[in-house]
Amino acid sequence: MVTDRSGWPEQSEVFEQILCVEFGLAKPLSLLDSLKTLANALCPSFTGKHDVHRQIDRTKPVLLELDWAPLAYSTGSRNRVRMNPAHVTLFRNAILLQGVFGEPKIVVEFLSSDRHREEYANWARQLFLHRQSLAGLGLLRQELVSFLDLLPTADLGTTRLPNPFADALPQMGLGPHKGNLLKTLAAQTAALSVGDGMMIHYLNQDLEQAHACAAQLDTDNPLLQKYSALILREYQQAKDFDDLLDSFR
Amino acid sequence: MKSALVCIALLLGLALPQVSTAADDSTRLVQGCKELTAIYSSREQQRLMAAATTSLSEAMMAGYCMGVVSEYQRRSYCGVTNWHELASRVAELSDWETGTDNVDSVLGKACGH
Repeated sequence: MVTDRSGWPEQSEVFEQILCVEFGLAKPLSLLDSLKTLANALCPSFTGKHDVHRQIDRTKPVLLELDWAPLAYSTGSRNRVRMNPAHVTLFRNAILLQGVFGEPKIVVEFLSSDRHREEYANWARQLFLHRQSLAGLGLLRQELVSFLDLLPTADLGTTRLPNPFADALPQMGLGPHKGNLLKTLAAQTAALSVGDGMMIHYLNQDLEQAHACAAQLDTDNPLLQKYSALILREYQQAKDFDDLLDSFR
Repeated sequence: MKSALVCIALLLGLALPQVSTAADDSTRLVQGCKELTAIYSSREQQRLMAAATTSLSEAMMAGYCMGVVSEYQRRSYCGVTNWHELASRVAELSDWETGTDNVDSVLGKACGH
């Protein structure tokens, strides 16, 4: 039986349709794309006006050396890109930093200035440590601890940072943080720290304390608002019951 | 389980009122007074705790005991004048002591007659 297959969609189109359009995930190739973006951010380059191939822009800080050679016998603008082997460790670390900080821009800042580096390392440390569950974020505890220890001072050109990500890099666009781990964490932490005390008292069945917190709570977080309303109502009911019992005696 | 039994008892009570015996009522009275003392001991133990530890049917049972006990004190002579005290005494009666007694004789025993 002869079928006309010329009208069939390409396999990659099907993948993209299912993953991106139907499941709402990031592009399946986004990891490779984001690595290319990262490498280009670490290695500023330009293409000369009359020149076909790309060159390093030495007027900007260069953290990683790439080399662009035109493909032989090719008329297009495609290049073979090589990487200086001395910089592979740095690039490996940069991938992990991008996973944590989300944006290549921050990775560049982190790597190029000691002042920024300390700031960002502190930020990461504060957000990651003292968390009950790192597993929910797809992070490995032991690796994360040594990762954070090495962040402020290690020579990132030679020291290989441990990989704290359990099974997927955040830049793959998977998981609960949709590619930006620290921002998600920061939002979560800000929302929770306001309602933290209230929820801890409530879950410990200390309605009195939970009510005291709920009465003062001022938040836009809809989840916390819901819990706070629930706590206020439960408190009122319990108090009414106490008052009723007392009135009978 | 307990609430299911109460439901069944209530349904039976509605459908077949003449079947309800004196012993059933006294069993319910003792049960209700047990709930009542439990609620007040939880009230004394900690503020706001009574509401957290009492179910709707337990509260209803306790209310039944309180009503029956107070009404008995109002119309019959009883050496125990405090309803709370009388309810605790009813709660302490064993099945063997109440046996097939009706509500009045159970309350009489609790009063020390």
